[in-house]
Amino acid sequence: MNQRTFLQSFVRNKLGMVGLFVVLVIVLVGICAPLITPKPTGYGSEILMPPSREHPFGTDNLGLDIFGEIVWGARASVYVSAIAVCFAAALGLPLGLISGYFGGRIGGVIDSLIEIFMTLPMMALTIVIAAVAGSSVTNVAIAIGVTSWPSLARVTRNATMRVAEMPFIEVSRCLGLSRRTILGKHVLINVIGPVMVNLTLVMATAVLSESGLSFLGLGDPNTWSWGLILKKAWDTGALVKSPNPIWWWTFPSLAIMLYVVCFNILGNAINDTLNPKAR
Amino acid sequence: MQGNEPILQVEGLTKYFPIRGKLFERTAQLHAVEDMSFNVYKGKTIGIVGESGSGKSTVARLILKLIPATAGRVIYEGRDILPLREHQSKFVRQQMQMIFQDPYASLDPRFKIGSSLEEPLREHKIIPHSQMREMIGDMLEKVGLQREMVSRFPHEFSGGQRQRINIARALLMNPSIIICDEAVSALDVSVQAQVLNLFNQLKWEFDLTYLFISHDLSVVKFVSDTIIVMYMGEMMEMASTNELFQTPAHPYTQALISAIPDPNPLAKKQRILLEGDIPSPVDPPIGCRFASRCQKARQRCHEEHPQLTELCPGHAVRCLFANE
Amino acid sequence: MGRFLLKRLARGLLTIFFSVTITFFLLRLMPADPVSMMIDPQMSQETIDAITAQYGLDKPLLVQYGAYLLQLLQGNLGTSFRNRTPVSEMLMQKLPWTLLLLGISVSLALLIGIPIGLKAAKKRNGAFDKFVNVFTMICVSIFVPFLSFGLLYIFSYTLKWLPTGGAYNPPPAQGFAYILDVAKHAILPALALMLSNCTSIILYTRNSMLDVSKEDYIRTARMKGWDDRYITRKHAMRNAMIPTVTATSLMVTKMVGGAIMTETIFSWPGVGRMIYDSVSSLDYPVLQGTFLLLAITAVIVNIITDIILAWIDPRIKLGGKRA
Repeated sequence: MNQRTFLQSFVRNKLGMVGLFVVLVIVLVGICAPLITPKPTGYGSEILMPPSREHPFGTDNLGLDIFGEIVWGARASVYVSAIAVCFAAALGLPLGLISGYFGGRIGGVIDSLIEIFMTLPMMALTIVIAAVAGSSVTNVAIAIGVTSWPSLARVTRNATMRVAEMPFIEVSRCLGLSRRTILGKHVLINVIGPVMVNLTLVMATAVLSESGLSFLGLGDPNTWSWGLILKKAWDTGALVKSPNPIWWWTFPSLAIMLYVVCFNILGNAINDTLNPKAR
Repeated sequence: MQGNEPILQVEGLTKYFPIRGKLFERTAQLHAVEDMSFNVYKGKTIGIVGESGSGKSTVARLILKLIPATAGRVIYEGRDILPLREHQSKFVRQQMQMIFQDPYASLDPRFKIGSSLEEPLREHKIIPHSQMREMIGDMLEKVGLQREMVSRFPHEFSGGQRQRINIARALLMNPSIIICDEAVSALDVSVQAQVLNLFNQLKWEFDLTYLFISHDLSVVKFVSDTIIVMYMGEMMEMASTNELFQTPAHPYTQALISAIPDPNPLAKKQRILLEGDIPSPVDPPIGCRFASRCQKARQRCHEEHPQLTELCPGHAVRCLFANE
Repeated sequence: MGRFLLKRLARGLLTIFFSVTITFFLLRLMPADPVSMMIDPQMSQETIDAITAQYGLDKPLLVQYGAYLLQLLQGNLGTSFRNRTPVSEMLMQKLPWTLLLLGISVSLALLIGIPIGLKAAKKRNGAFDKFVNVFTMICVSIFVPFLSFGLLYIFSYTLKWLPTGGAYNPPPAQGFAYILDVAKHAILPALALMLSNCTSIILYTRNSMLDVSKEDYIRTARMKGWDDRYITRKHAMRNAMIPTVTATSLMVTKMVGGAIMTETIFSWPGVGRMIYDSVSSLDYPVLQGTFLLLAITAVIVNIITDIILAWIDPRIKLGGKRA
């Protein structure tokens, strides 16, 4: 399938387009947060108010607007997931390509490394790295990035091994194309499908990990993120308060879920477009 | 017939593939090609014929340095090219081209024909960029396609057309030798004939030398001046095409020739059917490798490995009883 | 079989060695050096030096690393910065709780996930299959704290059926009452852990069941007129189970990590909660020890899975590779 037919059939996947649209909206909200609402800081006058016209998602125990917190939180989530994916791609893609294309001893070593990382409880490793690196949004992003490459590396490796066996790769060698051209152009473009699918999943997981780290207090306490809103709600015992400020912990959670679901839908849609018979 | 200097000399070319044994176990070796020697003369076509698994494709890949050889030399224009490193052997990649069996998979499906054809030219900097389009268009017409096809994707072409594209791509490199590995086997019989005719026509036009590999003796016969018959990695017989068909010396060659379908249904023909098992290439027999399927095999054939002997100049055979 | 197991064990040991190395060097990289956390400003320089020497922090990094490895081999995981007790002692106290929680969650996931996967595979793209599709999508996308809060809100806050946290009501009751009490406390965390990690089981079972039912031998069996249920039990299940076993090992590895969040929210006194506590108090030896313990748990689960796989699928024993 070439690029044009891929785009044509992808556009026809309605659910996938909805996913893409929502993701783009959230990214846009994150980027344009300052234009939408001022950053919630300090104290507000109305404490723990349920959703109203003024505060569509209610207020927290400091009287801050939860809608504003979510809009500003989108920033961190978008930023962290993007950086994390870049890190994962920068590590996983070349490692997967090299081990899949060259095989042999280097391939074996990389493969073992992937296997080892896949066995480890990644959440724990991410926490250790984030704890050591210190609380900053970028550190959190790096911690997530360096722990999410193995699955991408494995997907890339398997796809590369399939592509490397195709005759046109041997033809390219015959024609004297350099390794860089073969790997960086022909192999890469032919593995890009499964890689894209995996990247959306890495993105989805990264958002969950970022929220998790913020929730556990490993994020930057001064930068709003969806996990931090939940942490604050949890720290102040929002759950045992009566009456329960249900809006305080539901809206940020729903924001996380929407973002993650849309990435997963996007991944499924790409996958379905690439392998129409699979499901 | 073979007056001029050989353009390519293959000497003692050998390839053993290691078979990965389990830990602490002796690694076995698959004897894919064993001690092949032959010369390729400028402007001539040499055909290699053999069953699948006979090592004929491995020979092609060894000559092109796609896989490293276990032993032997490949001398191109007086220079052994096997020890050369990748960057030193760029001229090999330009001078020798290969046409593969599968025309569908020989082109990267994600690139338009034009960029697939342009890419090697750019890599080797053969012609200035400004002339590329012109050259590519001309070449497409020479192989029987249209200039406008550069803007199409491979999947828009038939098998025969794609093989023509592959040929055009090879010719654009201005090579002196073209190695065809089962280049027409995947095509319909009618298309096969067209492509074979194209090969013959281009040979004169571009002053080419061919190494033509196929399992199909009739295809090889059509294009070759000299034919090599391979069996289990060994050269069994080598002779000029006429001589090979008129006086085949090796029982295996005789069997292959007898198996070619005759267009005349009335002609009475004795077909030699090959029976018996092919021995394992991992542990080849000490005697003649063909002995297990040879009708004329005797006790000595199983015990003594026959050497390649020359019956007359230009006709060599590996059989203990070739003179009988 | 022996060689296969040996290979797996070697890889497991390599993984553990790798984790040890990672954590050691990571923790040496951290901005604040561990001694400064134990020093108060009033201490004399001698005392500071003494502490530094006591922890071997004055020696070169590689020597420290060697000493650390030696210590580990003797089962010494160091001493907690916070309460000066041996880390291994703390871990041993918490480990049973985590294993209990994991045990319940894994069993629940298998008991519920496999039948759901089988049922979904029965009618591909049927109503149930579609529901499962949506359900699994929600499960992989849900944020564990949200899931936990939701469960707590419904079952503890609104219905008041189940406790909000901890593992038992202090003081611990005796005998059967104690077990019942622990069970009541375990339901919600186990459910949260299970729901957020059970998707791989369901999907792997479903997909492999669909794949297997396309195989020739199943078609042959069907054409022979055998009962569908018999075919499922006798032929399809065993082969379809192979990916499910792999999925289980993936799931447990994920659950081991997921336990951190779940145990934290439900104040479950396990290893995961200990990670949270050690992170908030910057207690690095404990952090290191807990991570190692979790890594070892994951490795052991993987080896067990491999053994089960080899037992189900004889091909694996021969090839030494996963299907």
